[in-house]
Amino acid sequence: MAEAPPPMNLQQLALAIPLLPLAAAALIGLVRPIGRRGGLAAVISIAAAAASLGCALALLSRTAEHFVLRVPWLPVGGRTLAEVGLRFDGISAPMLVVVGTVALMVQIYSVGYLSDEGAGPRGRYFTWQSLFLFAMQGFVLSPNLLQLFCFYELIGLCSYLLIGYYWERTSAGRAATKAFWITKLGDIGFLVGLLVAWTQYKSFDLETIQHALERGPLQSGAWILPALLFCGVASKSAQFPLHVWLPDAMEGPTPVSALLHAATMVAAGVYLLVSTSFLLAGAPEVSTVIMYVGAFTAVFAAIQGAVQHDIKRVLAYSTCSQLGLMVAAIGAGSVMAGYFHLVTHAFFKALLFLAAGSAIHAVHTNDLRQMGGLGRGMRWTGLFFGVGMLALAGIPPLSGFFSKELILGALEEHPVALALGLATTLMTPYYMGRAFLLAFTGKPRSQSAEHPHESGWLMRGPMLVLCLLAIVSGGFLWSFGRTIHEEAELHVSPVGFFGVGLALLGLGLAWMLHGPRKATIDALPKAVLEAARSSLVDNLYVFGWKHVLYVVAVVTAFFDRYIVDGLMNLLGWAGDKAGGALRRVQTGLAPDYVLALFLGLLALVAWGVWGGS
Amino acid sequence: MSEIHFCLLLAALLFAIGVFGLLTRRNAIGILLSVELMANAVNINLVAFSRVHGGATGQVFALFAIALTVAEVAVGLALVILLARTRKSIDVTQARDMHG
Repeated sequence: MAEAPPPMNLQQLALAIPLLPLAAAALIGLVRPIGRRGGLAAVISIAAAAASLGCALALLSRTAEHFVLRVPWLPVGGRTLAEVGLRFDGISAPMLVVVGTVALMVQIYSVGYLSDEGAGPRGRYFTWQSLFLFAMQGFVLSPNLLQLFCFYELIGLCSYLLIGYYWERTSAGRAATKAFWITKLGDIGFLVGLLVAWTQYKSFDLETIQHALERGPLQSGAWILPALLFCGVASKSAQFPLHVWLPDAMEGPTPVSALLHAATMVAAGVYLLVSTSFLLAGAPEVSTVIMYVGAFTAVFAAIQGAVQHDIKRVLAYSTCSQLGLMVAAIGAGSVMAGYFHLVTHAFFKALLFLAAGSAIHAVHTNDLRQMGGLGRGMRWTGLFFGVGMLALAGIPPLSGFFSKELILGALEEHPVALALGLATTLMTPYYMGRAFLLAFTGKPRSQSAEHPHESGWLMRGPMLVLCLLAIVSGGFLWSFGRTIHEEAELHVSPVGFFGVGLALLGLGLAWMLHGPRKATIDALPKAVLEAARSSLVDNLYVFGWKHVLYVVAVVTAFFDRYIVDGLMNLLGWAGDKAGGALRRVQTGLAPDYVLALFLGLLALVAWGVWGGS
Repeated sequence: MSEIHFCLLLAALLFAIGVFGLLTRRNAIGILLSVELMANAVNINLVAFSRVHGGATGQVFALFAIALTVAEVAVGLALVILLARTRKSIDVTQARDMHG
């Protein structure tokens, strides 16, 4: 890998992006006096996040000077098994800024949101927040699969810790464990993928693999690696049927949900898919599967989102659905569309979660049935949620329009996937409109919703920033994307405008069914409601555990205990018994030994005389 | 039947008596005596063949063998004395601590 070393200051800037939050996490987590003082912990964590974001922003303007830095790691027998390093290019640079921005906003917001919490728990919270930021930025900057995997697991661990922040609640502990294990289930694929990558390409390095593929595609088995990697993607990015952890992850504090669902955990999966998208070029069948999985997830989650009563669960399923769209676009071959939507979605989904958190903070419930009319007391929050909703719905000129239009354009040539995508485009504004109307308009439906108090500026400030980004990021990135990826064709297709029509139709539907006059909670047919709420997939997992995994485990245990162990015990038993029987030969009487000696001698003589001729 | 045959017959007889004694005697000194019988049976063979072949080698060899047997008896008697001291008996069937 003979390359010109990148300029020193660029390297240092890139290194500082993940290392500053790591230093903050170490400081808060290891120095107990700091960890016990929540306010100080928050200041350190936010300062590190802000500095990290500053570095990312400074790098963003110099994307043209992309570089890959590699440091040998695990040297064995004169060759390096793996490398650690940094990859700074047109893919990682925008992601660094997005992750940094959302994380910083979430951390500032958390100060207000968690003000009722004790200092100790807040210290713990900000330790994990900083560690999470380190993991995510390290992941974004990883140049090889092994490093990607390490940070992938670290992200999973941090999500587990943050989802289980209210650990004294049993449901939170269960949700955290569920998220951890379901994502691990998919990560098995990633892990096996690492081995496959090493067998096929003798390297973990993304660039090396890409060059190897460009020189000559594999004769066979090119589909294995992308398929295995997609298992990891599907679990982290909550694709059907590995999406079940995501709605439960709402047990964490709302800012954590905002972080998880916008810029970190779920984004990591899509980012991995983007980083390894060159593998898909040689595996069209895998691409097709990915596209349909994504498109199906999009519709499936959208339907689920439309029947929820918990405002956070609506948003959770919405995330799931939007991730499905991104994955579908990447599967259809338009990596840029998926990546673009990842970026815009990060801003408006973080905004939506923070606004929902603000409402929850005021009413002390997640239940839409107990909200209503919050818009009067919480004008800012209502405004922010409304902007987020419109952006998510894909109304021009908000950011969601640009990215969603690209995704629909990418699906144009695949009728089934396009139909699913358009159905999602119709469903999305409907369920978002429903949540907005039920929460912020109409009459209050509970005592606590009657006099809601607007959140302080610590919470409104970050929302305002995200709100502005949700409005402008689409148009900005649109033009920015042209400068980096000249080859990317960005144009508005007729399907996109059709999508806008569908979005308006969905909003209109929401207004008709859930508007302030009627304020119906559930408008969908009863059969749909029951089917969507029946947690069928969860039951499938339980069934699989009880009736498949358990049976396999019992059979395996039987085999191990009675066949494998039995064989070993039989050998031991036989040796013991044989020894017991043979020990009687040793009488200890000298004449017996002499007799044996003579008999042996006679046998030898007899053999010498008559035998062996 | 020439004289060599008588010699061989005598030696074989002596050897067989020695083996019989070795296997049946319980007295350690009796065992030593049996071993002596076997050794001297071999010496008779050596001397007899020496006469037949007409050389002195066999007889010299027999002399060495007798000297060695004396040394062997010295060691054997020392063992018998030790046995008598530690066990107050020279019955070899009593000394069977190594039985399985």
